[in-house]
Amino acid sequence: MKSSRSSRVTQLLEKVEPGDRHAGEQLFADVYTELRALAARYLHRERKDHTLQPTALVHEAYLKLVGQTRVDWQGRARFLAIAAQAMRQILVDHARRHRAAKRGGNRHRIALDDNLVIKSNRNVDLLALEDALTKLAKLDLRQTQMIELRFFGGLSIAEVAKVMGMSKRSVEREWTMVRAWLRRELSRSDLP
Amino acid sequence: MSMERYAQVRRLFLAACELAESEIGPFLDHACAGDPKLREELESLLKQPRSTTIIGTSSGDAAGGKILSPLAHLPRELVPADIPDEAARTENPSRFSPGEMIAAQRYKILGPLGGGGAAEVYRAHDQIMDQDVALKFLALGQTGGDPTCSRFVSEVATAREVAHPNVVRVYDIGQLADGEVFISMEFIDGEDLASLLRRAGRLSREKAVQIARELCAGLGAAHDHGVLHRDLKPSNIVIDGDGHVHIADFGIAAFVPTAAGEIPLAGTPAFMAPDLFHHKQPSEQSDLYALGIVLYEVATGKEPFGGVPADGLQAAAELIPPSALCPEIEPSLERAILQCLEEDPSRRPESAKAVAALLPEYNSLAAI
Repeated sequence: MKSSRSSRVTQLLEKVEPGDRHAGEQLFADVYTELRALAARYLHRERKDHTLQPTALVHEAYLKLVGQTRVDWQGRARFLAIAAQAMRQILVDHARRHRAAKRGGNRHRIALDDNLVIKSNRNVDLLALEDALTKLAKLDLRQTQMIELRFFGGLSIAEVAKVMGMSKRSVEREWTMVRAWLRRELSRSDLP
Repeated sequence: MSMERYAQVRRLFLAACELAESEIGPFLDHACAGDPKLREELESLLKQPRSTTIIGTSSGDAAGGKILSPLAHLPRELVPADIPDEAARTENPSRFSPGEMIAAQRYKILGPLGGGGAAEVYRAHDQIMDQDVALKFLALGQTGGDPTCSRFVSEVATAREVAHPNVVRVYDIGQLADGEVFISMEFIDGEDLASLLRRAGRLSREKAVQIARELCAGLGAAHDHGVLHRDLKPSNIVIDGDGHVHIADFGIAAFVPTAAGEIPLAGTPAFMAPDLFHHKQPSEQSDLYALGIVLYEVATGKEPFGGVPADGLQAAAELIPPSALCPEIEPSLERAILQCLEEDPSRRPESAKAVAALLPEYNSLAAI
């Protein structure tokens, strides 16, 4: 049986007009709540040798909230964009709490790969990535959204192209820039 | 940095990416004349590695950790495959335009056909044989494959022997002057099953049985020639104007890049039999598993297991019997579907004809 949240999400996905702020916020809240509950199961185990795949969580949330219901592509695209945003916030909140607790001793780092994989104590600092994204958002919103979709929503280049209404070639070009920019920003933040 | 400044950096960076290594210096000299800061900014970006290696660790390391959430594959319904790609159409025009003559004036391009992934398919008129054909470009050059490799040639040569009304006939391999390889095949005027299902949801009880029977017939005919499909899925199945089934791409799945531009090793995850994830050889039974998934979708309008691949990474999702979703399903079709979806390949039917034999109004001639 479907929960009321799940059927509301499906309805919102079908009906929300871009720019309908209230419905958009409700959708974000629902997706965020679901994702956070799923993520909590993994994040709170505090096992260092484990890898978390935000992408997989987004898919799990989708199956849970939308499941077998047929949603049109705009609906799916909207879900992915919102879930990617929510996932980003969840991970950053978690990393912040973690840092506060450990005073920087055990920071969460992520692999800057096409499939975002998060491991404790490894790879790129999640908070440094967040700082970089906040900075980029003031410079180029489109590139920022691309990173969200790619890293936190787990979309391939081809899928990002479809969701953002761009050609695959354009996304590839932008991605080269995004990558270079992120690498540079993160390597700067890695300096002692 | 301001948005305007960033936009300028972005424009120059993208332009520089198109240049050869030796041209970048002079380009920057010109573009950044009198603006050393701009040049510094661009150089710091351009010196970043542009490969896909990741920061801090090797990708092997990242993949080596225990993955807590096993749903690693995108459920198919999450993939917005049917999004009209307007932007792509204007920015990235088709390789050929209608009326263009290719391959030594043999084929006249009539127009693009619904693209299957990254492979491009065109409807063309064969000037010599005076018939319409479908030309499928495999982008083998881009993916480093060797167009004349014997495995590819022998796959196509075998597939070419299969002549059956429910199988799209493969004609030939061709190559353009620039090395691009294509396969010419029968042109079917129709709609692929994936798009039909998107439009219609599930198919009626009678229609589902008829589709099942024709799929079994086509699959059986190919198997008799020793040809496995390896990537049976709704987008590879064309329904013609009279409602008949034509299975496309027999045996060439391994050579057609996916939408992501990769050559699939064994097919499309959501349709792959559990045995294939365990590195077993593809078999008639792995084709039958894919058939089971397709028929489940035809009969119920839904994907079994929520479209999640049977890769054994997740706790085996419970299979909802088709009749629970669609009570009016023909009971014998349901039995056939469930047998095809058996996890253990040895428990699946022994052949496509055996599946057909489970279906009602079985006409032994139809399976020949």
